[in-house]
Amino acid sequence: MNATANVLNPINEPGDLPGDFAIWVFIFSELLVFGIFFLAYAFTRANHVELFDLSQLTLDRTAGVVNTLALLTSSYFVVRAVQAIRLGHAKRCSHWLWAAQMMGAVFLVIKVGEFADKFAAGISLSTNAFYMFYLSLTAFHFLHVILGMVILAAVALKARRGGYSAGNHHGVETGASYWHMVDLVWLILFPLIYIIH
Amino acid sequence: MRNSITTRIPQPSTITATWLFLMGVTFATYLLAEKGLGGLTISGLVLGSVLLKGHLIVDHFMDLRRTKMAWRILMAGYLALLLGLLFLAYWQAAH
Repeated sequence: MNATANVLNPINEPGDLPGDFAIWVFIFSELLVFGIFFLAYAFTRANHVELFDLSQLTLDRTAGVVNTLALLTSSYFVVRAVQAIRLGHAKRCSHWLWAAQMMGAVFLVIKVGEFADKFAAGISLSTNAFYMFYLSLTAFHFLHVILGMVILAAVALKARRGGYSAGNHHGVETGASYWHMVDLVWLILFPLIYIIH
Repeated sequence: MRNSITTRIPQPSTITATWLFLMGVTFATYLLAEKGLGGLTISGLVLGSVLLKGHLIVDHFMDLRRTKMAWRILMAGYLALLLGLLFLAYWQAAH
């Protein structure tokens, strides 16, 4: 009985990673994959500096920085949600999570606008090496934002229904950890694609 | 019991200060690019700022400060190795 209860409501020991360990296996795998993509971008650029720098100038840098600030703010809201549930404030936790998703939605809308502009200009994956990386990297990250928002929505709904408490908030920490990974990856991607030349 | 919970929760003011700092550094790097500044030194500066921001996200947002040292070393190692190799690529491009 106790064993079943422990499996259904795992309790982290001091020093354990926050949330479910399985999400951390996923997070470390994702960081590895994104890291390889980033290195492929940078070392390909080393052989085509002029092409990459000229192509980079066609990007909307302001949209990029607004999106970065939106993701940072959403991560901040998620931290506040975790703080709220640790103090037993389930509804407040849910509100912070919805606020985080609003910022995630801002990110998606701006990114769709950027994609639409590029496609309208006839730019595709095969236009050149820079756009191949730009479109594939940002689209791959875009899908992670959508998945993160689905996870946060599920956690927010459960929090709203009283499914988490000060003593049982494993799921909130699990969702939060994933969302911070999405933010962390963008923090590296943004300067790489939009800023450094 | 209540005390044991509250003592392991970071103060909202600390988290808010971290968030504002991250926003400020991000906007500063944007301004560098808007002014047309580039080259290896600026690339190193920007990648260094990403390393700092990454550590802040990992420690304060992901809350890995309270985890076992091995997890923190793994994340710190990932960031240092990745950003170091990225700088190497930009150094290679500049030479």
